[in-house]
Amino acid sequence: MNPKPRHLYTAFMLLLCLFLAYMLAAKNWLQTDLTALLPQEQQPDVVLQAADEANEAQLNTQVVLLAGSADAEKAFQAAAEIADLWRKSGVFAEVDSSISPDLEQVRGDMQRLGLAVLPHEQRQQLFEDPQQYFQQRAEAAVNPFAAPSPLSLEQDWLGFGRFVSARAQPQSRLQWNADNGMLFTEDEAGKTWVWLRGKLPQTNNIANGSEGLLPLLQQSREQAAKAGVETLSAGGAVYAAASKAAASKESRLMSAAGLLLTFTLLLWVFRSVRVFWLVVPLAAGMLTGLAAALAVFGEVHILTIVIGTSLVGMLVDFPLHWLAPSVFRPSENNRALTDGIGWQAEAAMREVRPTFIISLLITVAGYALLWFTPLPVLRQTAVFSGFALLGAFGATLLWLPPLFERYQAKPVPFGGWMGRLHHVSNRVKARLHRRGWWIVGALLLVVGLWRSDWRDDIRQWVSISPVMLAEAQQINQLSGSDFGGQYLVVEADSEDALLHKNAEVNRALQPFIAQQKLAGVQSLDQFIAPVAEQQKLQNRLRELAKLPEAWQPMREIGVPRNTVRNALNQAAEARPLTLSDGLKPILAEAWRPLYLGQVESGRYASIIRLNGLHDAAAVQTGIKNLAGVHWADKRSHLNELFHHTRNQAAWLKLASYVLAWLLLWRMFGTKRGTQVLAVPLAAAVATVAVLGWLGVPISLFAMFGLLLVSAIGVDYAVYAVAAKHSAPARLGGMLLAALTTGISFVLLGMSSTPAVAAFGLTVAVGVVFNLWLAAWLLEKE
Amino acid sequence: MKKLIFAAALTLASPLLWAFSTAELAQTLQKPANVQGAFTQQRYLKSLTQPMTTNGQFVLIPKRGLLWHMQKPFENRLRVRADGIMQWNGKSWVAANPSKMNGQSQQIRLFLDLLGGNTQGLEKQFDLQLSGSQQKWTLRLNPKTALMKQIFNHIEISGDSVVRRIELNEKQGDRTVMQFNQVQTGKELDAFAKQAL
Repeated sequence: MNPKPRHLYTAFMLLLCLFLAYMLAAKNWLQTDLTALLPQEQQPDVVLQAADEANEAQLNTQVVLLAGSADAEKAFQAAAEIADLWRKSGVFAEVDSSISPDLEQVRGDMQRLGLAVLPHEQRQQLFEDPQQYFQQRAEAAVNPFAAPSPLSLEQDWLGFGRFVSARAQPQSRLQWNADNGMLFTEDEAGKTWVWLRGKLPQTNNIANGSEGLLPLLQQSREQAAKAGVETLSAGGAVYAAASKAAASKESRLMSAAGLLLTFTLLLWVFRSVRVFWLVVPLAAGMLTGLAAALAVFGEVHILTIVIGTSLVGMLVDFPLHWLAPSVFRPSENNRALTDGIGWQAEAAMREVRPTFIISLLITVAGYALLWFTPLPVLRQTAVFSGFALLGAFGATLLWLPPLFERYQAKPVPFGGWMGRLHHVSNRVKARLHRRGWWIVGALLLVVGLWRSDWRDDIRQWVSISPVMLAEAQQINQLSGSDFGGQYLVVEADSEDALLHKNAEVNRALQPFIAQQKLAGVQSLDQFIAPVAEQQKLQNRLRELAKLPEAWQPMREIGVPRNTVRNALNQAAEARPLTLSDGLKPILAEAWRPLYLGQVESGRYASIIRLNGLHDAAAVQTGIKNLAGVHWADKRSHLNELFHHTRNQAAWLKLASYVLAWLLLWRMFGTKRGTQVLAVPLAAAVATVAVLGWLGVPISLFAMFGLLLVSAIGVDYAVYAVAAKHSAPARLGGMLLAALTTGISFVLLGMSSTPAVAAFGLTVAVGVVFNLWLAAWLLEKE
Repeated sequence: MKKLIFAAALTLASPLLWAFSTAELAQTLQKPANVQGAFTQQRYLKSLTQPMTTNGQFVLIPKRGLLWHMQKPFENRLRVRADGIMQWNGKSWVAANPSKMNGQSQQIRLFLDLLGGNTQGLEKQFDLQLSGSQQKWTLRLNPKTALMKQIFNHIEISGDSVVRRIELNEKQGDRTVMQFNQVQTGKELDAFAKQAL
């Protein structure tokens, strides 16, 4: 071979290595954020986008830990120690363990908020039965057991301040321990659970910011366990960190196991340590793939790496097709001169080169089409895989022959076995070539296809351990809130209108709460009244100032008439609070996440949280006729997007078949070309049928697996039809390739991430069909 | 010998020996099965020249609960137990507060501890200073937790075999004095109190 392309390729690979070394050292190149996988919205509505961002920010930056013990003191002690540990760790931007309110500030806030957040019931009382209101107020004033209000009686003659702290805390199950300022809940068993919240730095990428998060949590929990205190924890960042750790561990383990098994097999077949050189095209492929992905995207997602790692099996296909015939003795085959002992590295490569180029073209074209899907992970994998194949192809073509120049093929049992296997397979082929078997096969196929379940679920993308899910559930139970991924986004053209709209939706949802289709809602109208309502109440207070008999009970307990009258007039004159004003005080912090503000000029938006949603469909229809109310369900929205992407990928693949057929038709003519293409097509269909029988849903990932299956199918079929080796040698080459591919994908099929497992399973099943169907194309001896 | 007598005299005169411990006080106050009598509560506010005065009857079963029956200026019956505070609406007990409030259980515990002489409970939140004798004692409570410091300057309880007077000095400058008279212990409860507690 002309050394020139070899030198060029070597120089190019060296450059790639330099580029990679620079990228890996200089940049944060590994992306682990699951959301980065998600497709970009085509035409996002700013309002919904703002809601989504607010939600994500809250979910992904918060880590919650609960320390529980039957002995309250122990629980508080453990929580305080963990909080200390967290603060020292530097993992969190903020650790909320205890609240020690600045009483002066709280007093000011309460006085300012009092009228605006007065509960509806009390407001109504002031209009309809003011005497009753003031009776209760007077009773509370002289009740020595009443909870101490931060406001003294003189600061709160009208008693509005009594309701502020309850209104400010939508999560009423959380209690505050006055001694240490910690928040806690008591469960039915009397166990005290102390709440701890850590906020990760906002600017940081979730996963990157939390390198130390998992070890810290582990340490915290061990520390608590030593003290006999139970712990629970939850948080988007925890899941992200856990799945990142699991994915990288899995990927390490799988590559190691894959390499070990593959090389054991190859050593056994070839009986030569030289097979270790096969690692060269592998490494070259991976390097090229990684470099290409980094060059195009600037980063690589961990999932791309996991899937990319599985390419190991495919990348050795070319060298195996080239090397396998070497073990066949010429005596077993008289027709093919290139088999067996006479095998010569350069010459053999020249012979297989055309078939390599054809299958490479077809496969890379198939991947290239994936570029047009909107899914980042699919595009990344397309770039990674396409370039990895090109890199491996180059290394196989240019580097391997010199490395195998002095390779002496030995007569090994594998060659003989293949001859027998080919014989057996021919007999089986003849046996199966009967109508009865065809009917059985067709029936199995049709039923399998009919049973196949085409469905996507975002939850398959993440492997959250059942332990973590159970803990999250327990935390929800303890907090009394169970907010799923579904919520409402309400918009209006002013803050007041927004509050009215919230109230309207709230009313519309009440029947569902009564029917127990929904446990409850959290909406801003539960916190503050619109300005117009506040003004109406102020007018009423002005009226009441002139009606002393309405507040007679106050006079009975000894509050002078003037004092009450002044208090009424003063409240009537205060400036009403707008929604955004009302959310400013620290007291209102818990309500802030619900308000999205003015998202666009003239569009004010807020979130309504749905607690314990049991019948989403009913609630969804219930709010359908309300203008300015959006149903937000990210999960089903994403599932729809995946569904769309999956179908798009399928159509693209079909398009690639047409292109492939044109190419094959040019090379082999109509009949042979069609036969070759029938192999991947039939294998893909049969694989879908098998998945149908197994009850594995055909998700986007399974579809991705099918794409790979068809690529492998083309490769085998072209080799089976076009390579100039003997039939048993070709069968051997294919079998070896299938085994090495199978090893890595069966391993992938054992992944804990359902989506990745489905991918592995699909390819593993597909490879079996490919092998079988391609073997069918081998001519009889 | 002289020395010995002197030493004995010294020992006997030592305040340590005569000291009346909070544990003993708790024992005394928790002895009776129930305590009932009349109360007068006066609330002194900075801005009012006259205290806000209420009075009525009470029944206390130590460690169990308290019936607080205000008769003047208006009728109001409250039942205070560890599980919460309820109001009698003429037919049944209903929650006294329309909305649940933070710190309610704290306040209930504080009052049940104050009246029932549960010095152990009080010690968690206050530094206790006991003076006087078993027949006439005064217990001064200085808040030690952050929360109690924000509410009270100090609390003073005095009495003999029962609590006679409680004075709450609030941080904001208000002062509440509760006095208990016609106090009887161990007397049979009336039907209403029996049913309520």
